[in-house]
Amino acid sequence: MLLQILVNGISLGSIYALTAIGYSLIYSILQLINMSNAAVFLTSAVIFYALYTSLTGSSVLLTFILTLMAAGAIGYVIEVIAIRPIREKGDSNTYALISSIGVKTILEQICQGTFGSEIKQFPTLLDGKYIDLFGARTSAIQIIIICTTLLILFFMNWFTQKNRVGRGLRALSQNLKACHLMGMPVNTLIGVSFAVGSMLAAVSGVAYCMYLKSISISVGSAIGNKAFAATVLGGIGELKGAVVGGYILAIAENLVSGYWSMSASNFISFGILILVLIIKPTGIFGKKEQKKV
Amino acid sequence: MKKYLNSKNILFVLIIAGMAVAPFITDAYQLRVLISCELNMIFAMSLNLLMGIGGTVSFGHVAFYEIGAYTTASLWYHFGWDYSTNFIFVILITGLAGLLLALPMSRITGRYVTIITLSFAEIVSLIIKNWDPVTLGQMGIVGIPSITLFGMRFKNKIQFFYFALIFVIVTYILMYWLVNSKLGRNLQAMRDDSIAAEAMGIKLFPNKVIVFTISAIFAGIAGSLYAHLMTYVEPATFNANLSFNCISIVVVGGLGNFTGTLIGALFLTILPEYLRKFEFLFKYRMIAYGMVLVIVMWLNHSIPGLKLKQSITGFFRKLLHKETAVEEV
Repeated sequence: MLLQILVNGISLGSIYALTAIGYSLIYSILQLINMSNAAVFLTSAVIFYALYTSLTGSSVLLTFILTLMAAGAIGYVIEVIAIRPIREKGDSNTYALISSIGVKTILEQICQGTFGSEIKQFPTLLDGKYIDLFGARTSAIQIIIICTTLLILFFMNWFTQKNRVGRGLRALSQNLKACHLMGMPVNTLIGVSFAVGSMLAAVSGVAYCMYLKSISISVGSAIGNKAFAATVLGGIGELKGAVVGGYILAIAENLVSGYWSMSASNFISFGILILVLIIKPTGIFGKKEQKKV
Repeated sequence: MKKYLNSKNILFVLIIAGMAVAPFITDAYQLRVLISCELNMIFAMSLNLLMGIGGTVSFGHVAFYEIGAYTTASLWYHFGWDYSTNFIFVILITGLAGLLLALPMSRITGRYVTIITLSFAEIVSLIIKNWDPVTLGQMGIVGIPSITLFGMRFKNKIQFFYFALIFVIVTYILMYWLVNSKLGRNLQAMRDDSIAAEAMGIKLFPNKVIVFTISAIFAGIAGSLYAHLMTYVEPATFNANLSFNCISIVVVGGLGNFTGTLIGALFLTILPEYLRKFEFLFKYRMIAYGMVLVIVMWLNHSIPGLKLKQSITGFFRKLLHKETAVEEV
């Protein structure tokens, strides 16, 4: 029972973690809560569905790659259209936040308009196959999700530590102005960070719908809010915090729904969040911020 | 008298006068749209107090709207009370909810406030979804009668319209008075620079509690009117999009500008209804809320190479916007 709960928790946690990294990455650079991330989650799942059913036939891999590219492009365009004009003026982040809410509404409404509001069947991989892991029934798609997430986490680690672009992003998060003065292409790099965040959201969006084997218009807001809660729980702006927060929330949710009731599992994630915010507002890994006069 | 004669108040009187004669020239459907305009006005003004004057971006304002709607609906369902009694409970319960949300603010500042409001709304909606004995859960409460005051039932929507209009006027006057009172000045000082305000002897926490409570009460009143207008409440209606739409209305009208909020509510409630006419746009009509947010944020800032911008921005600023800085989120 416990092992089964852990397996389910870890696979759901992987999905939270990937979206949460998107929030955290952009927050660490711009101190901006990018509300459009949840909408990209939904949009990419819808794009995957549309491509799979109409264009690419039945090749999951090809569809997946095309979806990733589309999500990256969407992320970059969001930055150029909605965030950059406000950022360049040097105005308060609140304005950029409101603008990102606007983008979220636009994307969600476009999805709703084109996709409709009914639940549809989503293509999945290796349907019905599972492994007995010490008594825990682990389906093939769960293993694929967990392995993909691990790969992506290793890749992100390499990307931010070793890669030139990733190191640039870390430099931006330390001091944006200094990067500007050193002649770094700040605008392009911020665009790249949005693209990376969107691609991660796309991976988790497609993975989540494969896990559920269905897609509906409400997946975005449901997972988006949870992933956001995970980001804050781990300490917003910290990549490892986002991952840890995602897994903690998902495992706690599964524990509660396993041993208590399904409806209580939704309470627990936001309950944990409020408790953490009251006890340690900066989250688990967050650094204490100093008020400057 | 002279100090009340500014452009905003004159515009307010004009809008109210226009609204007051509207029922004579509209059909039933248009009147219904106008009533939802009024509800949005009250709802958005309450959020504007919190955002524009209090400097807190709230993502969870729909929670109070929902609590208000469910309070009057459940009281009617279980006890059969009329609106004059329910109204007192709406004020008490939403005020209490606002107080509850304000409690963590003693420790939390800035962007974390936004996060707390989001989680608060999530928790409220979950409680209402699952508290079956009181709220009837997912089913919702159906068949709520029109507003009844001291045994007198409103027979038609025109009476409802004027009743809601009174609330709009009362809300505006109260907000105007509040902004220009000591509390309002304290709040604006806190919004612009909380450390300097604290150094001047303004206690941050009590002021925050008061503004949250007042804001919650007015959102709750709007919600209670909504329940009687729609005659049913169900949890699915009160989703996060309602909060975001409300933010759109406030932003269009200008932060801290209550006359602007009225215009924003009129504009953003009527526009999607108008777009229903067009077959092609029908499915996409709610995009207007998102577009408006992005475009207003642009206009307030620079669009490279657009000379028109200067004039438009200047025009809007003079007409609607009061330049305000919101606490960093």
